[in-house]
Amino acid sequence: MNKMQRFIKEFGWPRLIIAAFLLSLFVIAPFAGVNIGTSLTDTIMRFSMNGVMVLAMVPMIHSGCGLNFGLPLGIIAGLLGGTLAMQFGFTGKLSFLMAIVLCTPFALLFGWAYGKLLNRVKGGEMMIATYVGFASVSFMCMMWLLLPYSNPQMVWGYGGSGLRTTISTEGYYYHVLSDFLNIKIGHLSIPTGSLLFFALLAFLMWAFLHTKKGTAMTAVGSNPIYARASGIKIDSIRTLSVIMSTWLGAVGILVYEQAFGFIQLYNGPFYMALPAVSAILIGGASVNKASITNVIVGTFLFQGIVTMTPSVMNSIIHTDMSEVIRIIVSNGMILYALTRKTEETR
Amino acid sequence: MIKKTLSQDKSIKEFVLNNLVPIMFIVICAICIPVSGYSAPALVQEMLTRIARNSFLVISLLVPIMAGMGMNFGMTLGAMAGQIGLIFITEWGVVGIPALVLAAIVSTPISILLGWMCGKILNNAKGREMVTSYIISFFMNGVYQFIVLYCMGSVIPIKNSAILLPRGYGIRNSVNLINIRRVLDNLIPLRIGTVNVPVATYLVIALLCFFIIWFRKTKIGQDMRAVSQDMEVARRSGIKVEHTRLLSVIISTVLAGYGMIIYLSNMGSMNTYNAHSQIGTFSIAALLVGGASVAKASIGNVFLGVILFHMLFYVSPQAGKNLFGQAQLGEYFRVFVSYGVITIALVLYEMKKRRAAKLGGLTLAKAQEEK
Amino acid sequence: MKKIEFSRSLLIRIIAIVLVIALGIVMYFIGRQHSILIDNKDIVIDSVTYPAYKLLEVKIDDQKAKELSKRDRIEVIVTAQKHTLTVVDSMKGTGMIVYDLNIPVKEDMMLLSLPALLAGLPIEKCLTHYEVASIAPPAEEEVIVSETDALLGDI
Repeated sequence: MNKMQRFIKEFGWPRLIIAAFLLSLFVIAPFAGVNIGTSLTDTIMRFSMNGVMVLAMVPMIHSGCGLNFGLPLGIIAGLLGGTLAMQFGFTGKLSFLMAIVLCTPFALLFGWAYGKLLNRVKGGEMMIATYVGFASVSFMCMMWLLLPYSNPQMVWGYGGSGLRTTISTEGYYYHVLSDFLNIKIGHLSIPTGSLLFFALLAFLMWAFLHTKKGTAMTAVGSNPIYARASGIKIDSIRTLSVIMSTWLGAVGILVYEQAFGFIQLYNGPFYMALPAVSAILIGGASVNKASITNVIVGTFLFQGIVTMTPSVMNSIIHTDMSEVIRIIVSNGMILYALTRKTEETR
Repeated sequence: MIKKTLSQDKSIKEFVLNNLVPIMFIVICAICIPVSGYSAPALVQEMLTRIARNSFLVISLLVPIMAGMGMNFGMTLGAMAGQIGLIFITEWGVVGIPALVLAAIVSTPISILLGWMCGKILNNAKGREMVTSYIISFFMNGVYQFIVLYCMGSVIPIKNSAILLPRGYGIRNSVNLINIRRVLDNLIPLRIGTVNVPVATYLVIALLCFFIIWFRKTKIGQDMRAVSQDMEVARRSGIKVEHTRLLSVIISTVLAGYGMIIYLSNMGSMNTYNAHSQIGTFSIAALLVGGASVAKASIGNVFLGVILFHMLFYVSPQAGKNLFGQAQLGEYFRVFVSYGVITIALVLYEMKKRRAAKLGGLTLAKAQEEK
Repeated sequence: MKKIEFSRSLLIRIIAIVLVIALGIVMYFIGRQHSILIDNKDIVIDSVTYPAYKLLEVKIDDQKAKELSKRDRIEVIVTAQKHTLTVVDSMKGTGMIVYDLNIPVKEDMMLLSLPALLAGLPIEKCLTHYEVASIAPPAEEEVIVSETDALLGDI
């Protein structure tokens, strides 16, 4: 009994409820006439789309910068890379590679500046991160209108200037990863390429966290006083973690776009940080602790709920309440994590 | 002599740094106003309307700042309560000033409940109240949607087909508030030249200002200041810290509810699912534009902020159109400016806090050395 | 001592809450809007036919007077429940007849038949509940809740 209680306490009530909720969805699904195969395919597809962006949370959590609500900044870098690759006329598989290459300098630059900023506001990172994200997205809203893009697939057709709100990636990097080594078994279809790409990045992250720099990063986050005493340059490690997060955010949005098929500009990236943040928290991470397992478990649980609720709900009560459930679940999870740390330190 | 100019230089620099945000805004407004090409009476009329419309909401932010809890993003919760009050009066077919009062009465218990909840959660998240209250506003937005979009009409009795969705439950995207449109503004009509002055609304706002000034001097107001200075010291001197903080959030939420009712009655229609989330961001931005910081805000900041912020808000689309041929650009610009301002204000505040902590540490070390 | 204080503050709170609720109820009554349809048509009540008048002039409270010819119907919007109705038969020139109207607070819309009223029928018979026939259901409205769009609106 005691063991059980302890398990529940460590695992956390919200997580338990969410896991039970998802499980019950899968149990109900066949009775509600929802095909498990397609649901599972959707879940895996979304997992592969969003995994990298959730992975982007890891470095900053490790270095003690908290949850990266400023993910939109990285997304902006990714969008710049993606649109530039198309503008320069790269097509097919090459365009994806070039998008990553082109987004990298932006991600490094933005991440560096963002990291420097966060070093000056230790303790208040999360709120400022949120607004750095918002400010950069709204700034780019103007830029998308003003920048001299000219690829006809991207700009408004009727003489006006500026990029479209949604741009199709058809002919460019549409499904380059998803269709690579795609496995089809009946209703089930597995985007192996995307999964492998995610696995590669996740492995690199895992490996990094076990290098000297990586352990230093963890030390900065978990015990800054000890880290300072052992001669680690806290600020530069933190900046490095922010740069990594930003770059992963940039690559993450490219992976998302290639599977989704569209680039969403303007208001699109505004709230993209929240699902990623709540996914990693659902996976068991806290404000100052996260692992690759948390990323995988969390993304799967979160995306599972996002895909399963609409279909199951719709067939049972004929009302699509999934949006409301998504809002409550994801923000409830973040709220839980934010209020928990004080209990630990007390 | 050199020393003097140096100190003068320093004081000017300090002044600019301390008032960076309002100064930036004045400069931007000074550029945008002529470009927009609005006439002076039009601007004055618009400003008078907007000050009347938004001040109450912005003032509701002052109390939690007093208690050291930063910008209360949870004011959105109060706005939701106000909107629920308005939905009910529309359903009941009540009109005019009585309708406003009734909506306020209906919103109060909801605001108190939501504020209490928000305060309880924030007491568990000391030191990061802002980001937590920000997420609370999102979370409660989900709950609000659940209630308004699914429960109203099915569980909560709403029958008026003008506000109910055709499917029989849920409130429409937009609710027409013709029943209370501008009733407060037109209660005491005053016309100077071509400009209409909403006297009654200003009286209500003045009343609230006096309340805030009076409140600062009460026992609770003093307690709040003590809590904002140092929670532990306050606790040792016998102040119920948690209770005081809770109270500040509840007061703010209730006031935000009333503010929202005034705001929407001026607008004349309600955007059921967006109005509240919009209002939180822009109210906070307005307060910061007025030179308030996360730790200190006065009534003066409120009015300066509302004037500057809304000046820009009003002129920027037209300025964008005249400069670049795109009104859209002006709209994006004002959104960017509001977020940029909040960012700068937050960064400045955190930097100042750190510097103060460092300075405090240094003086402490010095004092210990002297011993 | 302490206990007395506690119960006193509790009492004050309860009184305050009751007062606020009472205020709310009062506001409901005085702010409640009703619309009255005033009819000048032939009407059959209890199998007696009351013929319409040729031309009537009606006025509710201090609102503008209106004329009703045969088979006319006008809508008057009032707030609160007690109202005075003034009727003048323009053809006969009988002078003003003043009636007190008392509308039940829960009614949205009521129908008032002038011929019956002028014939001396009690007011309860002439002032009846009226329901607007439901029109064909309008097209389904889709609710799209987008947080990002909220940022671009005016405030």
